[in-house]
Amino acid sequence: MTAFTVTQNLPYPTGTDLVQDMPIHMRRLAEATDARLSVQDAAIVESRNPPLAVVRQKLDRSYATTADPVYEYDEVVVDTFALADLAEDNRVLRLKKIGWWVIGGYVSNRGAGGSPGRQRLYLDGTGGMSYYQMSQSNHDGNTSAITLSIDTICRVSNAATARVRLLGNFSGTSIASTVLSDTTMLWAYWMREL
Amino acid sequence: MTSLTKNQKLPYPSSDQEGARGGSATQALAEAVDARLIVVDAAWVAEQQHETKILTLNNPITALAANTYSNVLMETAQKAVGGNPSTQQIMAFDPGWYHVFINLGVACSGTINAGTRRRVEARLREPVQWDRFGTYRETYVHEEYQTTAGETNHGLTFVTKLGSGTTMELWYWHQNTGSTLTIVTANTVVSATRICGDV
Repeated sequence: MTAFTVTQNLPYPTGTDLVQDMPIHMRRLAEATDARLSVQDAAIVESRNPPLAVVRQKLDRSYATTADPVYEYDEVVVDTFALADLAEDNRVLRLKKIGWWVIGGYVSNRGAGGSPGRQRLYLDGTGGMSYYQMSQSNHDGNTSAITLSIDTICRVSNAATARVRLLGNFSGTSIASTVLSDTTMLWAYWMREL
Repeated sequence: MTSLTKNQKLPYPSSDQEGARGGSATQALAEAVDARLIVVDAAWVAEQQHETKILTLNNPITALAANTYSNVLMETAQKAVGGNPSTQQIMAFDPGWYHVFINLGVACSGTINAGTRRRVEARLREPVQWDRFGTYRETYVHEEYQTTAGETNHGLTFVTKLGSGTTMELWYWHQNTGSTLTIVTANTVVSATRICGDV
Protein backbone atom coordinates (compact mmCIF):
# COMPACT_ATOMS: atom_id res chain seq x y z
CA MET A 1 0.00 0.00 0.00
CA THR A 2 1.42 3.35 -1.04
CA ALA A 3 2.40 5.74 1.72
CA PHE A 4 3.40 9.42 1.48
CA THR A 5 6.10 11.58 2.98
CA VAL A 6 4.84 13.98 5.61
CA THR A 7 5.79 17.37 4.19
CA GLN A 8 6.05 16.98 0.42
CA ASN A 9 3.51 14.20 -0.03
CA LEU A 10 5.86 12.06 -2.11
CA PRO A 11 4.67 8.44 -2.61
CA TYR A 12 6.63 5.32 -1.72
CA PRO A 13 5.84 1.59 -1.45
CA THR A 14 5.44 -0.13 1.88
CA GLY A 15 6.02 -3.67 3.05
CA THR A 16 2.84 -5.09 1.58
CA ASP A 17 3.66 -3.94 -1.95
CA LEU A 18 5.05 -6.40 -4.48
CA VAL A 19 8.60 -6.16 -5.73
CA GLN A 20 7.47 -6.58 -9.32
CA ASP A 21 5.41 -3.39 -8.96
CA MET A 22 8.50 -1.30 -8.33
CA PRO A 23 8.36 0.35 -11.79
CA ILE A 24 4.89 1.64 -10.94
CA HIS A 25 6.00 3.00 -7.58
CA MET A 26 9.10 4.58 -9.04
CA ARG A 27 7.10 6.25 -11.74
CA ARG A 28 4.74 7.69 -9.15
CA LEU A 29 7.66 8.94 -7.09
CA ALA A 30 9.41 10.41 -10.14
CA GLU A 31 6.27 12.21 -11.32
CA ALA A 32 5.46 13.53 -7.86
CA THR A 33 9.02 14.79 -7.51
CA ASP A 34 8.81 16.30 -10.98
CA ALA A 35 5.64 18.17 -10.02
CA ARG A 36 7.16 19.42 -6.79
CA LEU A 37 10.32 20.64 -8.50
CA SER A 38 8.24 22.36 -11.16
CA VAL A 39 6.43 24.30 -8.44
CA GLN A 40 9.83 25.28 -7.10
CA ASP A 41 10.96 26.42 -10.54
CA ALA A 42 7.85 28.55 -10.92
CA ALA A 43 8.46 30.14 -7.53
CA ILE A 44 12.02 31.04 -8.52
CA VAL A 45 10.90 32.53 -11.82
CA GLU A 46 8.22 34.55 -10.04
CA SER A 47 10.73 35.72 -7.47
CA ARG A 48 13.15 36.74 -10.20
CA ASN A 49 10.47 38.70 -12.00
CA PRO A 50 8.40 40.43 -9.33
CA PRO A 51 5.38 42.52 -10.21
CA LEU A 52 6.76 45.79 -11.58
CA ALA A 53 5.17 48.78 -13.26
CA VAL A 54 6.35 52.21 -14.33
CA VAL A 55 3.94 54.77 -15.76
CA ARG A 56 4.94 58.13 -17.17
CA GLN A 57 3.62 61.47 -18.40
CA LYS A 58 5.91 63.12 -20.93
CA LEU A 59 3.70 65.87 -22.36
CA ASP A 60 3.17 69.15 -20.55
CA ARG A 61 0.18 69.03 -18.25
CA SER A 62 -1.14 71.87 -16.12
CA TYR A 63 -2.15 71.42 -12.49
CA ALA A 64 -3.79 73.83 -10.09
CA THR A 65 -1.74 74.55 -7.00
CA THR A 66 -4.68 75.51 -4.80
CA ALA A 67 -5.46 71.89 -3.97
CA ASP A 68 -2.94 69.05 -3.88
CA PRO A 69 -2.81 67.86 -7.49
CA VAL A 70 -2.94 64.15 -8.20
CA TYR A 71 -0.48 63.53 -11.01
CA GLU A 72 -1.64 61.76 -14.15
CA TYR A 73 0.05 59.50 -16.70
CA ASP A 74 -0.42 58.65 -20.36
CA GLU A 75 2.18 55.95 -21.00
CA VAL A 76 2.89 52.54 -19.52
CA VAL A 77 6.66 52.09 -19.64
CA VAL A 78 6.66 48.58 -18.21
CA ASP A 79 4.01 46.48 -16.50
CA THR A 80 4.55 42.80 -15.66
CA PHE A 81 1.47 42.25 -13.49
CA ALA A 82 -1.32 44.40 -14.96
CA LEU A 83 -0.80 47.01 -12.26
CA ALA A 84 -1.66 49.90 -14.56
CA ASP A 85 -4.99 50.49 -16.26
CA LEU A 86 -4.78 54.05 -17.55
CA ALA A 87 -8.19 53.78 -19.23
CA GLU A 88 -9.82 53.03 -15.90
CA ASP A 89 -7.78 55.48 -13.83
CA ASN A 90 -4.69 57.26 -15.18
CA ARG A 91 -3.59 58.38 -11.72
CA VAL A 92 -2.94 55.10 -9.89
CA LEU A 93 -1.05 51.85 -9.85
CA ARG A 94 -2.87 48.91 -8.37
CA LEU A 95 -0.78 46.88 -5.93
CA LYS A 96 -2.32 43.51 -6.68
CA LYS A 97 -0.27 41.24 -4.48
CA ILE A 98 -0.13 41.07 -0.71
CA GLY A 99 3.29 41.94 0.66
CA TRP A 100 5.83 44.71 0.99
CA TRP A 101 6.15 46.99 -2.01
CA VAL A 102 8.62 49.66 -3.05
CA ILE A 103 6.75 52.65 -4.43
CA GLY A 104 8.10 55.91 -5.76
CA GLY A 105 7.58 58.89 -7.97
CA TYR A 106 9.33 61.60 -9.95
CA VAL A 107 7.95 65.01 -10.98
CA SER A 108 9.39 67.97 -12.86
CA ASN A 109 7.32 71.13 -12.48
CA ARG A 110 7.91 74.67 -13.59
CA GLY A 111 6.16 77.95 -12.98
CA ALA A 112 5.28 77.55 -9.32
CA GLY A 113 7.04 80.72 -8.25
CA GLY A 114 6.85 81.77 -4.64
CA SER A 115 8.97 84.14 -2.64
CA PRO A 116 9.80 81.87 -1.07
CA GLY A 117 7.72 78.90 -2.05
CA ARG A 118 7.86 75.24 -1.25
CA GLN A 119 6.91 72.16 -3.19
CA ARG A 120 6.29 68.79 -1.68
CA LEU A 121 5.78 65.41 -3.22
CA TYR A 122 4.04 62.58 -1.49
CA LEU A 123 2.71 59.11 -2.10
CA ASP A 124 -0.81 58.33 -1.07
CA GLY A 125 -2.20 54.84 -0.69
CA THR A 126 -5.60 53.28 -0.23
CA GLY A 127 -6.94 49.86 0.52
CA GLY A 128 -4.92 48.40 3.32
CA MET A 129 -1.65 50.20 2.80
CA SER A 130 0.25 51.71 5.65
CA TYR A 131 3.32 53.94 5.64
CA TYR A 132 1.64 55.67 2.79
CA GLN A 133 2.73 59.25 3.01
CA MET A 134 6.18 60.70 2.51
CA SER A 135 7.26 64.14 1.48
CA GLN A 136 10.21 66.08 0.26
CA SER A 137 10.48 69.83 0.17
CA ASN A 138 12.58 72.58 -1.27
CA HIS A 139 12.57 76.31 -1.59
CA ASP A 140 11.84 78.02 -4.84
CA GLY A 141 12.59 81.64 -5.38
CA ASN A 142 11.46 81.85 -8.97
CA THR A 143 9.48 80.08 -11.66
CA SER A 144 12.10 77.71 -12.99
CA ALA A 145 11.84 73.95 -12.92
CA ILE A 146 11.68 72.02 -9.69
CA THR A 147 12.33 68.31 -9.98
CA LEU A 148 11.69 66.01 -7.06
CA SER A 149 11.66 62.27 -6.55
CA ILE A 150 10.77 60.07 -3.62
CA ASP A 151 10.64 56.43 -2.58
CA THR A 152 9.19 54.49 0.26
CA ILE A 153 8.20 51.00 1.27
CA CYS A 154 4.58 50.19 1.91
CA ARG A 155 2.64 47.29 3.34
CA VAL A 156 -0.17 45.87 1.26
CA SER A 157 -2.60 43.60 3.07
CA ASN A 158 -5.49 43.79 0.62
CA ALA A 159 -4.45 43.08 -2.95
CA ALA A 160 -7.92 43.75 -4.30
CA THR A 161 -8.12 47.35 -3.21
CA ALA A 162 -4.59 48.67 -2.69
CA ARG A 163 -3.72 51.67 -4.86
CA VAL A 164 -0.89 54.18 -4.89
CA ARG A 165 -0.87 57.64 -6.38
CA LEU A 166 1.51 60.59 -6.41
CA LEU A 167 0.48 64.03 -5.22
CA GLY A 168 2.02 67.47 -5.05
CA ASN A 169 1.67 70.17 -2.48
CA PHE A 170 2.50 73.86 -2.80
CA SER A 171 2.90 76.38 -0.06
CA GLY A 172 4.51 79.75 0.52
CA THR A 173 4.07 83.32 -0.52
CA SER A 174 2.95 84.37 -3.99
CA ILE A 175 2.59 80.85 -5.36
CA ALA A 176 1.30 80.74 -8.93
CA SER A 177 -2.20 79.38 -9.40
CA THR A 178 -0.98 76.64 -11.75
CA VAL A 179 2.17 74.72 -12.51
CA LEU A 180 3.23 73.00 -15.69
CA SER A 181 4.43 69.46 -15.24
CA ASP A 182 6.67 68.25 -18.07
CA THR A 183 7.70 64.85 -16.71
CA THR A 184 5.91 62.69 -14.20
CA MET A 185 6.60 59.10 -13.25
CA LEU A 186 5.14 56.64 -10.79
CA TRP A 187 6.58 53.20 -10.09
CA ALA A 188 5.92 50.22 -7.89
CA TYR A 189 7.44 46.80 -7.50
CA TRP A 190 6.75 43.95 -5.14
CA MET A 191 9.58 43.22 -2.73
CA ARG A 192 8.62 40.37 -0.39
CA GLU A 193 5.89 38.59 1.54
CA LEU A 194 4.52 40.16 4.67
CA MET B 1 13.61 0.73 -20.96
CA THR B 2 13.85 4.01 -19.06
CA SER B 3 11.27 6.76 -19.33
CA LEU B 4 11.57 10.39 -18.30
CA THR B 5 9.12 12.65 -16.52
CA LYS B 6 7.68 15.49 -18.54
CA ASN B 7 9.27 18.59 -17.05
CA GLN B 8 12.28 17.66 -14.96
CA LYS B 9 13.30 14.65 -17.04
CA LEU B 10 13.61 12.38 -14.03
CA PRO B 11 14.21 8.72 -15.01
CA TYR B 12 11.99 5.86 -13.97
CA PRO B 13 11.74 2.24 -15.20
CA SER B 14 8.89 1.54 -17.56
CA SER B 15 9.12 -2.22 -17.83
CA ASP B 16 9.01 -5.22 -15.56
CA GLN B 17 12.47 -6.05 -16.74
CA GLU B 18 13.83 -2.89 -15.18
CA GLY B 19 11.70 -3.53 -12.16
CA ALA B 20 13.93 -6.50 -11.51
CA ARG B 21 16.89 -4.11 -11.45
CA GLY B 22 15.25 -1.80 -8.96
CA GLY B 23 18.48 -0.91 -7.25
CA SER B 24 20.10 0.70 -10.28
CA ALA B 25 16.88 2.37 -11.36
CA THR B 26 16.43 3.86 -7.90
CA GLN B 27 20.01 5.10 -7.95
CA ALA B 28 19.44 6.75 -11.33
CA LEU B 29 16.35 8.52 -10.04
CA ALA B 30 18.06 9.60 -6.82
CA GLU B 31 21.04 10.99 -8.68
CA ALA B 32 18.84 12.84 -11.15
CA VAL B 33 16.91 14.42 -8.25
CA ASP B 34 20.19 15.25 -6.55
CA ALA B 35 21.51 16.98 -9.68
CA ARG B 36 18.27 18.85 -10.17
CA LEU B 37 18.27 20.10 -6.57
CA ILE B 38 21.77 21.48 -7.06
CA VAL B 39 20.45 23.52 -9.98
CA VAL B 40 17.49 24.72 -7.92
CA ASP B 41 19.71 25.66 -4.99
CA ALA B 42 22.01 27.63 -7.29
CA ALA B 43 19.03 29.43 -8.78
CA TRP B 44 17.82 30.43 -5.33
CA VAL B 45 21.24 31.68 -4.31
CA ALA B 46 21.51 33.70 -7.52
CA GLU B 47 18.05 35.11 -6.94
CA GLN B 48 18.96 36.34 -3.48
CA GLN B 49 21.96 38.25 -4.84
CA HIS B 50 20.38 41.11 -6.73
CA GLU B 51 23.07 42.78 -8.74
CA THR B 52 23.98 46.02 -7.03
CA LYS B 53 26.51 48.59 -8.10
CA ILE B 54 27.57 51.18 -5.56
CA LEU B 55 29.99 54.03 -5.90
CA THR B 56 30.72 56.40 -3.06
CA LEU B 57 32.90 59.45 -2.93
CA ASN B 58 35.79 59.02 -0.54
CA ASN B 59 37.43 62.42 -0.86
CA PRO B 60 35.49 65.63 -1.36
CA ILE B 61 35.78 67.34 -4.71
CA THR B 62 36.74 70.92 -3.99
CA ALA B 63 36.51 74.21 -5.81
CA LEU B 64 33.86 73.31 -8.31
CA ALA B 65 33.06 76.14 -10.65
CA ALA B 66 29.67 77.72 -10.31
CA ASN B 67 27.21 78.18 -13.15
CA THR B 68 28.44 75.26 -15.21
CA TYR B 69 28.00 71.51 -15.22
CA SER B 70 30.61 69.46 -13.44
CA ASN B 71 30.99 65.75 -13.93
CA VAL B 72 31.22 64.25 -10.47
CA LEU B 73 33.90 61.71 -11.17
CA MET B 74 33.59 58.82 -8.78
CA GLU B 75 37.20 57.77 -9.17
CA THR B 76 37.79 57.96 -5.44
CA ALA B 77 35.19 55.35 -4.75
CA GLN B 78 35.81 53.64 -1.47
CA LYS B 79 33.46 50.82 -2.26
CA ALA B 80 32.48 49.47 -5.60
CA VAL B 81 30.34 46.35 -5.69
CA GLY B 82 30.30 45.49 -9.34
CA GLY B 83 30.99 49.09 -10.24
CA ASN B 84 33.88 50.33 -12.24
CA PRO B 85 35.52 53.30 -10.51
CA SER B 86 38.47 53.25 -12.90
CA THR B 87 36.18 54.42 -15.66
CA GLN B 88 34.60 57.05 -13.41
CA GLN B 89 31.17 55.78 -14.34
CA ILE B 90 28.76 53.04 -13.48
CA MET B 91 28.51 50.65 -16.37
CA ALA B 92 28.38 47.02 -17.55
CA PHE B 93 24.96 46.25 -16.17
CA ASP B 94 23.35 42.86 -16.35
CA PRO B 95 20.41 43.87 -18.58
CA GLY B 96 17.22 44.52 -16.69
CA TRP B 97 15.20 47.00 -14.68
CA TYR B 98 17.05 48.86 -11.96
CA HIS B 99 16.21 51.07 -9.02
CA VAL B 100 18.74 53.89 -8.87
CA PHE B 101 19.44 55.93 -5.75
CA ILE B 102 21.64 59.00 -5.72
CA ASN B 103 22.53 61.30 -2.88
CA LEU B 104 24.81 64.22 -3.56
CA GLY B 105 26.10 66.34 -0.72
CA VAL B 106 27.33 69.83 -1.46
CA ALA B 107 28.74 72.51 0.78
CA CYS B 108 29.25 76.12 -0.13
CA SER B 109 30.37 79.19 1.75
CA GLY B 110 30.14 82.89 1.19
CA THR B 111 27.00 84.78 0.31
CA ILE B 112 24.20 82.59 -0.92
CA ASN B 113 21.75 84.55 -2.96
CA ALA B 114 18.08 83.70 -2.73
CA GLY B 115 16.96 81.32 -5.39
CA THR B 116 20.31 79.77 -6.18
CA ARG B 117 19.97 76.52 -8.00
CA ARG B 118 21.23 73.05 -7.13
CA ARG B 119 20.82 70.58 -9.97
CA VAL B 120 21.87 66.94 -9.92
CA GLU B 121 21.71 64.93 -13.12
CA ALA B 122 22.02 61.23 -13.79
CA ARG B 123 22.78 60.84 -17.46
CA LEU B 124 22.26 57.51 -19.14
CA ARG B 125 24.04 56.83 -22.38
CA GLU B 126 24.01 53.92 -24.81
CA PRO B 127 26.81 52.89 -27.16
CA VAL B 128 26.19 53.30 -30.85
CA GLN B 129 29.30 51.44 -31.93
CA TRP B 130 31.66 49.14 -30.17
CA ASP B 131 34.29 51.85 -29.70
CA ARG B 132 32.31 54.97 -28.84
CA PHE B 133 29.36 56.12 -26.83
CA GLY B 134 26.16 57.58 -28.16
CA THR B 135 24.19 60.57 -27.08
CA TYR B 136 22.40 60.59 -23.78
CA ARG B 137 19.34 58.38 -23.78
CA GLU B 138 17.74 59.77 -20.67
CA THR B 139 18.56 62.30 -18.03
CA TYR B 140 17.03 62.17 -14.57
CA VAL B 141 17.18 65.31 -12.51
CA HIS B 142 16.92 66.63 -9.00
CA GLU B 143 16.64 70.39 -9.03
CA GLU B 144 15.94 72.79 -6.21
CA TYR B 145 16.86 76.18 -4.86
CA GLN B 146 18.70 76.90 -1.66
CA THR B 147 18.96 80.14 0.22
CA THR B 148 21.46 79.27 2.91
CA ALA B 149 25.13 78.34 3.15
CA GLY B 150 26.45 75.11 4.59
CA GLU B 151 25.96 71.56 3.46
CA THR B 152 22.82 70.49 1.68
CA ASN B 153 21.99 67.01 0.43
CA HIS B 154 20.11 66.31 -2.75
CA GLY B 155 18.40 63.01 -3.40
CA LEU B 156 17.41 61.54 -6.73
CA THR B 157 15.70 58.21 -7.33
CA PHE B 158 14.17 56.53 -10.33
CA VAL B 159 13.43 53.16 -11.94
CA THR B 160 14.77 52.53 -15.41
CA LYS B 161 16.00 49.86 -17.79
CA LEU B 162 19.76 49.44 -18.06
CA GLY B 163 21.70 47.31 -20.50
CA SER B 164 25.15 45.83 -20.81
CA GLY B 165 26.34 48.90 -22.70
CA THR B 166 24.57 51.55 -20.65
CA THR B 167 26.76 54.09 -18.92
CA MET B 168 25.50 56.23 -16.06
CA GLU B 169 27.20 59.48 -15.15
CA LEU B 170 26.59 61.92 -12.33
CA TRP B 171 26.64 65.64 -13.07
CA TYR B 172 26.10 68.64 -10.81
CA TRP B 173 25.19 72.24 -11.57
CA HIS B 174 25.77 74.82 -8.88
CA GLN B 175 24.20 78.10 -9.91
CA ASN B 176 25.23 80.94 -7.72
CA THR B 177 26.53 84.49 -7.80
CA GLY B 178 27.75 84.95 -4.29
CA SER B 179 29.36 81.85 -2.90
CA THR B 180 33.12 81.58 -3.02
CA LEU B 181 33.61 77.85 -2.75
CA THR B 182 31.65 74.76 -3.57
CA ILE B 183 32.53 71.28 -2.44
CA VAL B 184 30.89 68.05 -3.38
CA THR B 185 31.19 66.25 -0.10
CA ALA B 186 31.88 62.65 0.77
CA ASN B 187 28.18 62.27 1.51
CA THR B 188 27.76 61.37 -2.13
CA VAL B 189 26.70 57.96 -3.34
CA VAL B 190 25.34 56.41 -6.49
CA SER B 191 23.79 52.98 -6.44
CA ALA B 192 21.81 50.82 -8.82
CA THR B 193 20.02 47.67 -7.71
CA ARG B 194 18.54 45.23 -10.20
CA ILE B 195 14.83 44.57 -9.74
CA CYS B 196 14.36 42.01 -12.49
CA GLY B 197 15.44 41.05 -15.99
CA ASP B 198 14.66 42.74 -19.25
CA VAL B 199 10.93 41.98 -19.27
